[in-house]
Amino acid sequence: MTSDPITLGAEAFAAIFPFHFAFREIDQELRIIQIGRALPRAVKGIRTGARVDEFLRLKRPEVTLSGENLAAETKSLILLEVIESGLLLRGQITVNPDGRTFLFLGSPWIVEVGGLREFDLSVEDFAIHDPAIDLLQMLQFTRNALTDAKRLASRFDEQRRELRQVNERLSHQNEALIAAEARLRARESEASTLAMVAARTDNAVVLTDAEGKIVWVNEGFVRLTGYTLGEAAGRKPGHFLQGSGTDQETIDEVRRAIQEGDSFSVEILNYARDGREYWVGIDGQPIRDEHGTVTHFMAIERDVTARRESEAALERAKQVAEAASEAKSAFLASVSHEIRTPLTAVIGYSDMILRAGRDEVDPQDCARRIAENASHLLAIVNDILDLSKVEAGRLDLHPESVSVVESIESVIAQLQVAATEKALHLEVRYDTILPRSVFIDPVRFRQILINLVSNATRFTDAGRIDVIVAARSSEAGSAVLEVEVRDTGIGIPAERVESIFNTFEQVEASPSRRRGGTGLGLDISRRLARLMGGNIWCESSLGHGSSFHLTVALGDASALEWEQVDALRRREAVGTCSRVVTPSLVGMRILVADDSDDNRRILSFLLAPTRAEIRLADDGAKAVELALEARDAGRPFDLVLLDMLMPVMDGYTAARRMRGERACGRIIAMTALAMAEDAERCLAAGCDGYFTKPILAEPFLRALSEWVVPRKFATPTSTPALAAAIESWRGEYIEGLIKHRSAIVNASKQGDLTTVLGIAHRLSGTAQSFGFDVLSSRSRSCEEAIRGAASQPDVQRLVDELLRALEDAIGTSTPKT
Amino acid sequence: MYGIINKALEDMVVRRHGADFWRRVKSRAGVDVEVFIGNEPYPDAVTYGLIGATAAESGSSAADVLFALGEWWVLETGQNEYPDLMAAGGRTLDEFLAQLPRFHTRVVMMLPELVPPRFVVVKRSADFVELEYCSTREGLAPMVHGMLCALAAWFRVAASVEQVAHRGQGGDADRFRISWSAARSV
Repeated sequence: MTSDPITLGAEAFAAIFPFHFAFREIDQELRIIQIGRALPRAVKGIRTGARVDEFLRLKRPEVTLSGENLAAETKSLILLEVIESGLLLRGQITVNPDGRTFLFLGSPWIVEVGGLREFDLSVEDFAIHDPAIDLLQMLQFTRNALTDAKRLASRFDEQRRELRQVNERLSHQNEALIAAEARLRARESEASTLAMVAARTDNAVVLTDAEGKIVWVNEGFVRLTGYTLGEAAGRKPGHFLQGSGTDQETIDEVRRAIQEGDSFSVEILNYARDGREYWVGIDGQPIRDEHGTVTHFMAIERDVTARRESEAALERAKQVAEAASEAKSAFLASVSHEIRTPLTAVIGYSDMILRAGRDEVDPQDCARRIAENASHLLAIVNDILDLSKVEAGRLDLHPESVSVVESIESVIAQLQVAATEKALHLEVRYDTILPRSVFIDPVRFRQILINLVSNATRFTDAGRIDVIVAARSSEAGSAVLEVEVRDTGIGIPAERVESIFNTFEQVEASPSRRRGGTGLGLDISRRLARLMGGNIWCESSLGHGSSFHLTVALGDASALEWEQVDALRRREAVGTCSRVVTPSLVGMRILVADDSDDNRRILSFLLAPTRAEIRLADDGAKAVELALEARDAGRPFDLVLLDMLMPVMDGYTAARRMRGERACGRIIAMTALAMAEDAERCLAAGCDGYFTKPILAEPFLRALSEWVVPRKFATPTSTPALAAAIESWRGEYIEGLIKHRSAIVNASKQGDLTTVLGIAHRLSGTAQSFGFDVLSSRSRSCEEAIRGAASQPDVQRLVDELLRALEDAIGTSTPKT
Repeated sequence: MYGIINKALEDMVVRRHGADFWRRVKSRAGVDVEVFIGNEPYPDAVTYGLIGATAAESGSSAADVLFALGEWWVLETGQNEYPDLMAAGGRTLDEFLAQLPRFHTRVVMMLPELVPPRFVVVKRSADFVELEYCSTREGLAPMVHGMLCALAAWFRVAASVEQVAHRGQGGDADRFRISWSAARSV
């Protein structure tokens, strides 16, 4: 079934195509022959009969507007442009079968919003089917949406800009933050370091608020004060650290500085929590904020207690030194007086003898008084010398094996006369058991005893003096000798019991000093006792007598030989006198060299009873000459007593010459120079010993006895007389060596080098006399090593060598020379 | 609803109360949209929320806001942004009202997801038109009222617009009578 084709009526055609127009090619011109109802609104003035190209231009295709060309473009989209307005008409061309009549079907092509109004068109001009209007609306919607999108994009751009700016700001801020963080980290590190320093420093660090109340303290503060941060926080330091001894002016100074926001630096006495006093140097600094307002104070406190105490000690020492200096000045004045007094007597009595006739004075009495005063003068000089030695640290002890009983009885015998003269009862009492011999310096021990007993005699007018002797062994195994000298004298006020031991002080400081003495004896004695490992102290009260106690260290108790004290030695001292026995030196030859005629006389007188052969020389050169002659004659001098300061040739040179020539036996320096270095100089010159002038009979004869004892007689040119004597003593000497050997073995095991040293010293001085040269040499090496504080292995090696030398000496009755 | 409505509300509020006020409205409504795109659909809740928030912020009623939006929709949005569409609506108020169905047909062609309201001229005479408004959405009658008043003003017609029937109050649709004097125009 086929349907009839639809045909359009003119009205319908006009409604459907309101912008159509028809034209025909006439005489090669395209003439309009029909126009749609709305076309005149789009193409102003268009009319039928007019040429198409009067109003319209063919925009597309780009061909000349002609019938022929249009006929070929029926399948093309045709765009006609309204020449007057530029409005485009979009449509298509159809050609009638005649080939000359053309129909354009289309409508205005508007693409701009508002185009309708621009071209004076309305919706009503368009056919309803024409989508142009709706497309335009769509375009409008789309454009509006595009505007929205642009607005959104613009907003986004704006936000992006803002974001970028924000980012930039954030970036800057971030950089600033990073920098700030780095600074902060550095500050934290610094703060951490500072905190550690503040916390760990030995100084106390205190942080207070502006009012001075503590907000923080470090560990140093806690250590110094004993207060923790919890206990100190919120309190002002002055409220709990300062006390009665704190200087108020310093407190005020600190308070004023805090009130005025100033720094301060003070030293102040504070009190720790346990009451301990301590001095601190405080440096306080205000801490201000950016406005300059003080917000805190920081104080660093250094403990200056040690320095303060040191300063105080120095001040005390200075005061003591000044007091001592004053005392010394006073004493020198006193000594001067003391020296002048006997000197005046000596000069006076001497003058009396010289000037007065024999009938007017008793020469014996004058001489006795001169001797007494001279003795006193000598005692003063000796004491001062001793004191200077002690104070200079140059007083050396020379310990030897000594019998306690003999030493004490010797002293008692010496002082018995004075006691008897005052009708005093002087008695010695010994403990039941005592060491047979002890290793001490006999000279200094006697010096102490003499001082104590003579003091007792001097300060006791009636009654008795008891000397009580005992020896104790401590739990530690060391032995101590105890001597008590007890008198019934005037006694000492309690407050002065200790001060009598002080240098330059005496119980009776008055110039009259009727009881005599230098006032130095006790001080010297105590110092000597202490050098000997002991002490001296006194118990006394005024009017009730005194008790002086002496102790002396004796070393290892087990190394001592303890035995019952002979009952015969327990005796009363009353009535006994000291006797100095003049040694018999028959057959010995003695040379005396002294430029002093008096000394030569005195020595000749003192030596005469020994029956030795005496030769005299008045200078060193003559002495050497005589010595060489004697040697060459085969009769060398056994003993030379040599003054050291002589004209022509002094004693030192003479000694060296005689030693160098092996010209004589023992050389003894006779010197008025009493210092240790003088003795050393004598020994260095070749002397075997020395004697300090003045030449008094008793000490000289006692010393002479020692010099001629074989063990002291270390001479390479032994005399025949001595050789005979030595030979007779050999057996006894070897018995002594056996004891020495066991003593050294025991002491060596216990590390008691003092005992070893004492024995080595003795052996080094005696072994050679008996022909034991190796033993002597080993002993000297051992002694030097111990004195020189050599290393323990070296000392032990030398001790072992010494023991082997002892074995050799003991094992052979024949000396190895 | 399409963004064109929300955008119109935004323009109106910003013009009258300022941008900060609009930000507060959006904040109150819980709406976080920077720019509404006109031809993009948004949930109805967004529009209702913005209307309610505007009313709350301005201390007026939602009906007042809707009425004002209707006026703004015709006089500002329509005339400035869719003049051709408006022009296509008709040359007179009477014609425009009569062609409202065709107008919405064109709108639907452009906004395919739009569920447009239906307007039917139920009565007409020389000096009035009675228009029935049906919509799938409720509560928008005040906006239609405002639109009709604005259209009269746009076409320079001294007309009175009265809602003569309310949906849910005895009727199934809202009905408006637009009356004018045939001899008078402003």
